[in-house]
Amino acid sequence: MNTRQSFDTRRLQGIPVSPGIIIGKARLVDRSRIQINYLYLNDPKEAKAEIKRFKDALKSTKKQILTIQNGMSEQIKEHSFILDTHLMIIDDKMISETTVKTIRNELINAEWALKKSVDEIRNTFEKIN
Amino acid sequence: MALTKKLKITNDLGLHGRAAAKIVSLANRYGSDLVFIKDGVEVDGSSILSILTLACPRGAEIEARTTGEDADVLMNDLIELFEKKFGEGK
Repeated sequence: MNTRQSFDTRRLQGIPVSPGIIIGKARLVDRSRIQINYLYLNDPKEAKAEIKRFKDALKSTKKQILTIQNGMSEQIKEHSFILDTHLMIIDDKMISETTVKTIRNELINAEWALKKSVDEIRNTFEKIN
Repeated sequence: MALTKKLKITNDLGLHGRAAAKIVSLANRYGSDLVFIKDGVEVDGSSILSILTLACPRGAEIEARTTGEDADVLMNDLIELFEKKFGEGK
């Protein structure tokens, strides 16, 4: 696909997690409900706007997590560190910097570049025995 | 200024997400850079995902390197964090 499409924001519905920690073997559940568009940018000049779109999405996600964190009841406030970890992952260079570089170097859209970053991280973790 | 120190993971759960998050919080408090080295692999101490890829269980040893103007203060706080088992008590 080599066409420019309009981008929009999509709201995804998930399953709320319960408070507390579970230690065990993680199982990857990929129900393929999230479908992304794989798009090439038509012009290298579009990379700048695409990177801005990606960074804006990160900011927006952080804002949403902070809103959830601030609204947590006292009963579950002690578990808010889980969301701190999520905030750190959003800021992590392995996600943010890698995705920005991929958009710039491969001239692809943010979703595709982010998927590549996440796949790379997943591969790294899968190599751990 | 650059400092290097071998640190042992002594908490029961090892270097898991919460412990790694505390390290990143600490690293972000200072201007100096923090790097961990284990089995020849070097990772950025300000990246939680990078730290987790080291997969350090209890008893593992990793090398920490701090570089910068406040490298000594960062290293001292890091040593304390490891010695206090990341605040986990056991």
